[in-house]
Amino acid sequence: MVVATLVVSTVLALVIGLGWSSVLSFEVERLDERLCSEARRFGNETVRGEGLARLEMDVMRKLRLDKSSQLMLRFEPLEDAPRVESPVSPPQRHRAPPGECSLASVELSGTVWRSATFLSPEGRSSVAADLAATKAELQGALQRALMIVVPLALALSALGAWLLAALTMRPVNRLRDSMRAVTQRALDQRVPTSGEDLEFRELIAAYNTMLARLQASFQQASRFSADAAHELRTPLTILQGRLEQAVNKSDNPVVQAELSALQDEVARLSGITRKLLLLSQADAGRLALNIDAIDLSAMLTELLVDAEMLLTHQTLSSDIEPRLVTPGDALLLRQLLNNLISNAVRYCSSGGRITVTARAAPKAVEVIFRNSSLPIASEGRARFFDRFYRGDASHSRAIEGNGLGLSLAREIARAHGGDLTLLPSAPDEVIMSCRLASQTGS
Amino acid sequence: MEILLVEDEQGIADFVCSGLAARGLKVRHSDDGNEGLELALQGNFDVIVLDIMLPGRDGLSVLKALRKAGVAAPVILLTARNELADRVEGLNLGADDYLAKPFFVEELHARIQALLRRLAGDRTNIVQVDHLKLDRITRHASLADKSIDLTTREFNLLEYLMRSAGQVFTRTQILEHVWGYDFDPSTNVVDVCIKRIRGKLTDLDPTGVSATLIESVRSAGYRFKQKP
Repeated sequence: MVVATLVVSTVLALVIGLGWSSVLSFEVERLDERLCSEARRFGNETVRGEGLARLEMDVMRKLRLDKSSQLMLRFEPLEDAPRVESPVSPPQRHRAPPGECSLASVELSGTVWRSATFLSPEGRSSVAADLAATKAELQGALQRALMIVVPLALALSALGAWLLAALTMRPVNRLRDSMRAVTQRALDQRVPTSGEDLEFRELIAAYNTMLARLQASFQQASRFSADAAHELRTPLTILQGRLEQAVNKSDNPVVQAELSALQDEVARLSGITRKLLLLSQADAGRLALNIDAIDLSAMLTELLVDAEMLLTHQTLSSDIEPRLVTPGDALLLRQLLNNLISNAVRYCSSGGRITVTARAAPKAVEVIFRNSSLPIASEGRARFFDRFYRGDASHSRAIEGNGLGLSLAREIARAHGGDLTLLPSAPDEVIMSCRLASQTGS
Repeated sequence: MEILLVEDEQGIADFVCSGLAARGLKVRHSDDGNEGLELALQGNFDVIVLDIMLPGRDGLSVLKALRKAGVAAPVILLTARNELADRVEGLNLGADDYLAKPFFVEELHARIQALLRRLAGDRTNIVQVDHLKLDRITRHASLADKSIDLTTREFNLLEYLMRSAGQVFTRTQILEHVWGYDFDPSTNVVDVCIKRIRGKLTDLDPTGVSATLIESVRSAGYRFKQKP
């Protein structure tokens, strides 16, 4: 838009400049005419009678000359009439026939003069003007004019361009705003086409069609995982129930151990199914929350006692501010914190440290999970929240988990109006920051 | 004690019925929402276990009709699809508890017992096996009248095992009851916790006899020794 404004202003200034130069050449041509008419006037006795000084002033004004040295007047009577001359007189090199005006350019001590001579019955009258001075005067006038006109033209065209652009951009801006408003949670939004110009109506219609297709495929994908998860539930329930029954009926410890191992696998499958279902609900923006005032400090402390039991070669320290209360779903927040703690425990290097701090931030509660780890490259860090991502395969073989925990944790935090972020750190350290709203009025 | 189970999946109904019956509960089963509602309105059930996805009439609507008709029997919802929304709505409609599928019959039994205890008042708040005694209300544990200092998890675990002494509990079962179902089944948190409880029992009874009250069943799980 700035470029367009500049182009428009430059063109405008150019046009004005050209216009003024033709005015200038026209003015120079007219100088001859004026000189002639002044010479004719000077030939008239009554005019001369009014006084030379006055006449000189008058001619200077008409020819737009600054100094009297730039003008020469001379009158030569035909017979014995007295000569009238200005201090400097035009040269007498040519003769004009009576009643006619003759023009000539004469160089006199480095100055080019334009002179007009008129032969009247009374005598010869000559008027000469410094040509350079006259031109300079006109050029000065042009320059002064351009100095005002060009910036003014620039400003005017900029204003015009801005107004025009703003007017044209209005539907585009509306489209942009609505595109911004459309997230995965509001795919049902459409941009209204009424009252728009034809070309924008087409653009908006195309955008709306694209949105509808996106919404349909998104809904299909999220309904698919919801349905798949649901369909898995029934066989899993029967499998688990039967295994439970079999363990109870058996008296053989070997068989019981075998069945117990199978139960573990069923539990793992159920865990993945449950997480997938929660993720698909979160994707569809339908994570139903049963909001209560949750004492995060108490919940964290309890979970950290569990985590502490699991550590063998690592140390765990925590600094939890008491009574940090957040409005949230107890079940989901427990899942969120549990996922983050298990993640820290799982990826903590042997002999490493895990630190959990929770504190009140302005209008929020911030929980920081920090654990030492094997060095992780930045590409690995970028994929932390990817579903089913489990870190570098070379050193995660022994690490359990399905790679859904962090992704789900972030969705839960976001569904609560908070967020989960990976903070920058040294390569052999992982720092997660979980921010949740703090309960107002507590 | 009679329980009404409304569940359309035969495979699920089978093991729930036999599992609850094995634990001494009488179960009436219906596989249809409308029929279930009829039965619930006529019969005098102590606890009603309702699946949410049902043919005829869904579980939430059955619950709504029951509460509207003034049936106050405690209701446990079995949820599968969209469990969070169902849970919120179910609890709002007056359900007393809910269990997400898949679930253990032992867990369902524990929930039913808890509801029955609540109805019965404080009379069944003491669990005792041998010299070990737990008070569910005050959450106080004692071994031969010497008090044991247990954490919440340790208390819950011990209570879970003691309630069905002689029965084997797998790690997964214990994990799910004591820690909740979102805990990774591969963790050895159950073993660590059992070890700690045994340690605390040995501190009070240096003969080590009390510690053997909790038996390890190979790598299958744990069992509380039955009364001799």
